Amino acid sequence: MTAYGSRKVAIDAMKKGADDYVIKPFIPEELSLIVEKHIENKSVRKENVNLKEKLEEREKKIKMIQSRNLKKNSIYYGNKDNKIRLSSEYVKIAEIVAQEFINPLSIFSGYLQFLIKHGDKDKSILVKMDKTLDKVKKSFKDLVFFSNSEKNIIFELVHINHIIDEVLREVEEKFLEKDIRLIKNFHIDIPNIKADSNQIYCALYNLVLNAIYFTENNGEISILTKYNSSKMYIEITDNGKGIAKENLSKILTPFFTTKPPGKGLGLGLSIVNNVIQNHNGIIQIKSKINRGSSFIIIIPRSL
Amino acid sequence: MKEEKILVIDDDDDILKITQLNLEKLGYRVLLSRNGDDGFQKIQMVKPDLVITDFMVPKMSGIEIFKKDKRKIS
Repeated sequence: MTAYGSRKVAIDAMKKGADDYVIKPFIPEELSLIVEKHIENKSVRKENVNLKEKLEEREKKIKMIQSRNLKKNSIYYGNKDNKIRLSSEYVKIAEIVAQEFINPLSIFSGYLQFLIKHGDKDKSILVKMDKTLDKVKKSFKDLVFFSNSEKNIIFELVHINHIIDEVLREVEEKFLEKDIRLIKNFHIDIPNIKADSNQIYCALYNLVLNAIYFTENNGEISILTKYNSSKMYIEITDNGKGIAKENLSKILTPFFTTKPPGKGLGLGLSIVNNVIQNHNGIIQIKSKINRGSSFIIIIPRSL
Repeated sequence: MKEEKILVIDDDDDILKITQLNLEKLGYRVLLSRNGDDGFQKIQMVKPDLVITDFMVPKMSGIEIFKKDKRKIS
């Protein structure tokens, strides 16, 4: 199996000795034909029965479905005459965005196709479908938030500890999934600050999600809040894989990500950066490879 | 129920689930694995009739699994 659009990888794998390939997102019919072909192939060899014709028939059908699938997956930008030449940076961003939506949507459609074909009383498939839509929603939200984070800022009195607790409730399941230990070092008497609570929530949500993603199972994440006469500090530290030196200067750049395609738009930290700047704050990043990373947000208490 | 066992290796839980659902409807016995190490162990233990693996899986790539096991399964 290989991801969307990586036919080259598949062909390379075949050269190295794989028997066949399926490109994700596959359609169920394609998968079943390929599987039956190889299972039969094996029994043919065993029983020495000549099923060659039947296999060839199937081969033809698979090729037909694969080429139909390929056509369906191709993106056309119009014909030669009116082809728009985009800079490679835009093309890369378009690819990242496309992949981000194609992956969960094809998973969604995979479940849906199964339900259409077989029906199922089991509600767990519907729950999984709902979760894949959540991923799409998160990506859309990130895009929208990123494109207008400077507009519509509403300053009000916010309690940082409460916002972090809200974020932690939202991601509780993810902590449990990876068995990550959470250490809260909140200053109890932290004063309210004037800030946009939605934006601060979004920034902290992205920082915590990132920390979880880059922390191994059974790892540790600590969150600290403190203040002095003029500033508010929020520090999120993980003991995950850390950030390579050459990437440290890039991680705040929009659409930069070290995650594999389809696992994130690369907007999280640039959203964080925008939010902090909207609040006249700064962000400090300390990281050591294989030891972990620390993100320190410093916001002035009065704007 | 057919006799054949199929092992599916992928680090994406949803891909595993969809592949499992479809293969089980075809009547196969389906085993799942989320990384190369575990997948390789399962190959040794249950000797599946067919292995479907993602090209990029954690801990051992699809091709490495295949190379390591070439002699043992067909």
